[in-house]
Amino acid sequence: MIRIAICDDELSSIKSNEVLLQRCLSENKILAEINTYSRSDALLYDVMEDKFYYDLILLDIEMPNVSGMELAEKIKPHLPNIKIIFITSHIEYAIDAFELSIFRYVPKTECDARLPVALNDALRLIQIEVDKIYTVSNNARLEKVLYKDILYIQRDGKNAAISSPTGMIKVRKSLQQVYEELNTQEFIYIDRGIIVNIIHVMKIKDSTAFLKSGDIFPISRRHLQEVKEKINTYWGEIL
Amino acid sequence: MSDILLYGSLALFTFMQVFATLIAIKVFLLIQSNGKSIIPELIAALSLSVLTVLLQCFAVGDLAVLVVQSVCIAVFALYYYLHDRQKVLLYVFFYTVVLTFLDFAALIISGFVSGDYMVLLMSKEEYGGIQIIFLFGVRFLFLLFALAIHKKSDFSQKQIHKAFGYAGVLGLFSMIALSQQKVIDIPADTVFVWLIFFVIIIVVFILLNMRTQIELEKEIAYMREMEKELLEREYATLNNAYSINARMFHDFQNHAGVLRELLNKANYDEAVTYLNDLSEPLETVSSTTWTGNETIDYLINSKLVAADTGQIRTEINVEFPRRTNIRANDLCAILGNLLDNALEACREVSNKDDRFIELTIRRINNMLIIRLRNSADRKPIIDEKGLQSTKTGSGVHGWGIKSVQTAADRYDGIMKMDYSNHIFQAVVSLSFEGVEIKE
Repeated sequence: MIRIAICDDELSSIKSNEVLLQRCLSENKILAEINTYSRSDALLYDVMEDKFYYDLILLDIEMPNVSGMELAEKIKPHLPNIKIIFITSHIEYAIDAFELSIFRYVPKTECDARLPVALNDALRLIQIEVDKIYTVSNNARLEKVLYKDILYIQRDGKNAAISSPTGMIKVRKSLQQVYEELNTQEFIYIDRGIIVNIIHVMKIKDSTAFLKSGDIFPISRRHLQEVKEKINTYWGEIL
Repeated sequence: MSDILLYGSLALFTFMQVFATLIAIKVFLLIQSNGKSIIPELIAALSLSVLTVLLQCFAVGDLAVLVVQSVCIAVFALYYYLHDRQKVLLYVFFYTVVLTFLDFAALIISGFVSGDYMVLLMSKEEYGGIQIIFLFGVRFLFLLFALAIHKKSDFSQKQIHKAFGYAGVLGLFSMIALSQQKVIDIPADTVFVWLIFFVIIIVVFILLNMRTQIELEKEIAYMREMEKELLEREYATLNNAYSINARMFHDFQNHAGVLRELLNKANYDEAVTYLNDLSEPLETVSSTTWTGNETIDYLINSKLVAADTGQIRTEINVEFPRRTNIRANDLCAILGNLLDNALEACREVSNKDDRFIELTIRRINNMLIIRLRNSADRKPIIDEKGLQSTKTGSGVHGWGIKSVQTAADRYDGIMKMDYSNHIFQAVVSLSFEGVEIKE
């Protein structure tokens, strides 16, 4: 289940945004847990001290105590995959190329028209690989890893090693076997010995794949065109 | 030497040399689509070695056997790799020469080792163990070499040509060195033939290299020309639009004067009529902000006007990040061409209710994804040159698509086109980087 927070100092805005959000969720047939905050410091405390997890936050920028901007800056290290939709009374906001966690700016005056679009777009991305779990059985011990947490899988001798933010899991199977078991279009070979998760590929530059985690892998000449095409097709469909 | 041993070694030798040759040709032709599997090559080499033994049974001469082998290799390479015929034949020729030379060199060295100084005059049946070992060694090394380059197989065309050139030079020098020694008698014409062969090889690969270079330069010149034309075309459109704006601004003074006059005289009805008449041309130029870049926004807005005129429904969903290294003129080339194609295809759709264009631009991680969908009555012809215009004879179109690709190339991106259910879709993916702008 995905988790969403709405944070706004005006109760009426919270109410109207929640209605829009509920409608989007039911249209997309998505189950979500929604928490609302009327104080930004309460949200900050929940994330930083109590380790609350959120996939999406609807955030008012203009708030007393901690502004939306400050809040976004502070929670980013704790929730690296967070998507934030900023709601603002200013119109002059464009997302900065450096800013990864900000998903979109929505002007308060155009909430009714533009918030549903932004929500639909965000939900579609959050839904990718959301519940898929890959199970590894090593020495009668089961280890589970969420598809969306898998960064890349590397050949390790005759076996394979799955890398995720929490560490590396070794699998007593060949890379090709793991690839076939995963069986989704998100996983692509960039070299004979490495499979990456498309959703974590930040960019391709000079035959090199840059992952969200900071890992950098060369793409073999044999795979380069195919990798670019697969990324193109994948995002072209989801958009 | 017994016949069985002779035929056995013949089959083994042929298999090794043919297998190595096929693998090496595959690497040098930069074949990638067939993957790493070398089973077809294995089968071809096996069958060719059987054929060679059969030919040997019927006492066909050595030279004829060599010719048959070369022809078979060439035929296999041509049909299996479906590659440039000239190149395949050239590589096959090259390999035949190199292999024969290696045999020749191996025999001479074996002569040194065994003290059999008349080795070159021996017939095949007279070869001793030492000769067989050397001939086997040469093939073995050759096969190892081929397998090694196949494993790496990450060469550029240029590197390969260079390697051939060096091989030719090396052969030339080793031949000169061999001709200078006095221990083993090498007939003068043999030396001469070899020298000529190596000179030919060197010259051929120098020419090949030059051809590649010239082709590259031609391509660059063509792209430059195309870019210039495209830029001029876009600028002409934009300029035109701006001049309409300028004229409207100029007229504004006059209109204001007329309105002031009418209002002063309390002629309200006429003032309202005048204003209504005015608002018509004003509507044609909207100034919606889509990307925040004036030029690109103007481009989108002007294409929207064109869509409106053609009774085409439009849906624009644009999210464009600030401070990227994506240059406005590259994005203009991409959007301008894609939108022009879409407009043209839409105008041909007979049912006006079906006409639509949908433009979506989104940022995903550090990539910009541009998707354009539009209605189209028929499948556009897409060949390796790009999209062919439905109008015959308009060269601008193929160029347009090529310039989209050129622009995408700058950002390690590509464009993919698709057509199904009367909907044409083009997706361009670009990788960008954030750029610090000092304010």
